[in-house]
Amino acid sequence: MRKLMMTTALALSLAPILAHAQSSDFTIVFADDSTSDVTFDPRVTQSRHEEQVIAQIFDQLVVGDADGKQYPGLAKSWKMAPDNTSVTLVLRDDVTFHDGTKFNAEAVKFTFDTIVDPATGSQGAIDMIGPYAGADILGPYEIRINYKRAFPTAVDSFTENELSIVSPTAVKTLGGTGFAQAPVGTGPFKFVSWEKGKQVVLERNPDYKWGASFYSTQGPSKVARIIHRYIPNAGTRVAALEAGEVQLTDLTPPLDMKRLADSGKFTTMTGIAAGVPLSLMFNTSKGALQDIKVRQAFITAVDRPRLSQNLFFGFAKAAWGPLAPSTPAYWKGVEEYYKFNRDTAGKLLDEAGWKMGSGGIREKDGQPLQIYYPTLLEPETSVALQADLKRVGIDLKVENVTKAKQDELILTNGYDVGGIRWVYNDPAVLRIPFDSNNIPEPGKFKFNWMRWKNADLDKTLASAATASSPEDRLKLYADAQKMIMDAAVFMPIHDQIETIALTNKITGARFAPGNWQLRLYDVRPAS
Amino acid sequence: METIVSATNPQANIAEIPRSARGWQFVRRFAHHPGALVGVFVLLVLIVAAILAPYIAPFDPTETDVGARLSAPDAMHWLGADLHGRDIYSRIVWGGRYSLAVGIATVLLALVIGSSIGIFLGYVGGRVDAIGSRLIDVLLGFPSVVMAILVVVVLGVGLVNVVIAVAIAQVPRFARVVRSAVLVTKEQLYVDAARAIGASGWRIMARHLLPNVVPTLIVLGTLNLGEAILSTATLSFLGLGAQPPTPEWGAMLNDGRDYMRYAPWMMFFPGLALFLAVMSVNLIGDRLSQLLDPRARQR
Repeated sequence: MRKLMMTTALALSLAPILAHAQSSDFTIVFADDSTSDVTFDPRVTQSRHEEQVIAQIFDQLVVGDADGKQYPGLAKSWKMAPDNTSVTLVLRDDVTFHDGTKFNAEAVKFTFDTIVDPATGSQGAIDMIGPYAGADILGPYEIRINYKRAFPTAVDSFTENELSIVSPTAVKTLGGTGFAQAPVGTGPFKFVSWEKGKQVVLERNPDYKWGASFYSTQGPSKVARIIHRYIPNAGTRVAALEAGEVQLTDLTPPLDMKRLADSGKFTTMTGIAAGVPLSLMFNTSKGALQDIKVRQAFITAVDRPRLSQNLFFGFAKAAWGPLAPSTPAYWKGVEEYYKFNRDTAGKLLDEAGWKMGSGGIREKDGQPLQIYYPTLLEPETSVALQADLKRVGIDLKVENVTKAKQDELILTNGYDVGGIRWVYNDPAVLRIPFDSNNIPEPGKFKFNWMRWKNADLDKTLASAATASSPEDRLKLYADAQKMIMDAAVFMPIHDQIETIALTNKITGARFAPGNWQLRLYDVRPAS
Repeated sequence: METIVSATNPQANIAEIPRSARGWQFVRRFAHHPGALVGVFVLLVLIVAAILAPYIAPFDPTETDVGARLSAPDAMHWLGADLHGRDIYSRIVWGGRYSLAVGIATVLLALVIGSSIGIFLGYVGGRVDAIGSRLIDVLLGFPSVVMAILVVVVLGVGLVNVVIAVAIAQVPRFARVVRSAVLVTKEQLYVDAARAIGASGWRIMARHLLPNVVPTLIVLGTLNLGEAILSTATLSFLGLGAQPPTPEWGAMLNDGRDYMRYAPWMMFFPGLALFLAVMSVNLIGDRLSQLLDPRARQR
């Protein structure tokens, strides 16, 4: 590994990046944690890392800022039908894609039609687009989007990266796979090249003049070139930032965030991501966790505020419900559930028939209380969970598995607990893990790892997604969150945080809605 | 056995010395080398510490204590504490059990399988040997860590699978060296004699060829032990071996990686333990190879 780090360091030093403050060649390098990007097609992606690149290349019909406020984007104005089943949009007529194709109503229809076409293989956008029924082109720059049912959050959905508008010409000439590797949008940056696992290069779109009004920059970006470099090791990312080889790092370790901020040479930004916090899903189909008392004991046994404080040094807070507080329709009632209490946990386990055994692990009918947790996520969080659970007599067997192994265990029901998290700026995300239709089956990888069927919840989530008034929607999502908490099938642990450190030679980076992706359009030399 | 020793060793006078005396002579010659003595001493300390872990480790290696987290070495935590406040000294002492035991198990497994293959190929010869040897050459072409990672990916993570994986990666080396040794040995007169009195092939391999390659195996085994310990740690470092909260040295190095700047003791001491273990085994292996390798011995 040391050799690998040396090689990485060598590769970095061999490719010196000029970060002169002149706007003609102003290059910024963004160091990203992932190396596993496979597609930059916004219609297909479900990866937060892929979206970091997508957010620079593409524009949306409506632009949301970090606070969720909406501004005209590719659409100059929009009007929701009174029954919430269609939206009419008037589009800008001065926009061209990077390949010269004119942006118009055809391009919007093409994008949305292809998202719902199973051949596209959409993973994220297909959930975002709602009950899309088709689009009517009313004029070259006017379009009506129709829905099968009322879809009151349609305009919110237009702000998502996943519903970015793609160049129909490029998709038709390159095909789906080709487009995924050489995306063409209308955004402030054009795609140049992608070396898998190493870096993506983007360059300024010199014709860009349709940025949203809240940006300081109007017209082409001050940034000439973005190099999106993959550096999966956090320590290496920070070292590269301090050496001046990169200007921004994502997922910066909390201790480094503090130190860098104190140094006076760097700025830090922390985004509390919307969506589902880092959580455990209890498999209710087998083993000890079938018993609600054991599940309640499991949650109650863990001191989540202390765990979050210890691991994230104050940057991430404990999570209490299936939605992060920054998600629309978050219900505050979740904060009253399953507060840490070791005695209560012990009592619940006693009531469930699990008596303390000789080795400090509880037993029932001669079987130890062992719970198997295969995971890809956060080994340190696992250790902290193990320690708290052991104190009440639960033996959490953690195995840090590969993705392939995890998928196999999920499909064959070979786990007791699964770890999960999503960055998603809409409460509709709850359907992905909680809908009864999303229980994994052989050959079908889905996310209801609790293997929990609740017809009431399915109905509530479905009505919430099509609720006609914001009040109804809040009420229905609150009901859904309450049902989930009452059943104790899901254990939120801590909020997901995106910790960005950047040199204070630059300014203007902004979080996109959802607080994960960083928009780099507005970046300029600080002076 | 007497004849065998003299058969491999032209210094026939050794055969005339009583066996116990020969043992002492060997120990004396071994001890003549200060490096080897240091190696034995360090390895013994590590092994004894691992065995006595429950008595000499002041803390439970998996017990977390938030108050102490990332604390520097002091009177309470002699080698500091990690992110979860676990005592690093206790974890290293307990971790020796995993690192050393896994290393030894790995080498034994590779040795048994590899030498069986080597003796078989060397003795049988002909087309079987030609094909078998080429296969071994192919396997030797893979870097052993890459090979081990491949095997772990197929078998799944965990220490038992790591033993199997690293052993599989080492088998070709044992097979090749043992085969070469057997090629020489099987031409000896006593093998012809055994064959003449009607001994079966299996008997010749087990009774006449195997004992003659034992010195080679000891040297090779010791030299590979260091690498086995290191490969195990490498796989655990990559998250493929020991699973939390097991205090394996490679896994501890990985735990410390992100905190290198703030708590260097999280990486330094497990790294030191690993270094000492591998160094001591290699020092012993070097000296053994000087003493037991017939060619080196004649010099």
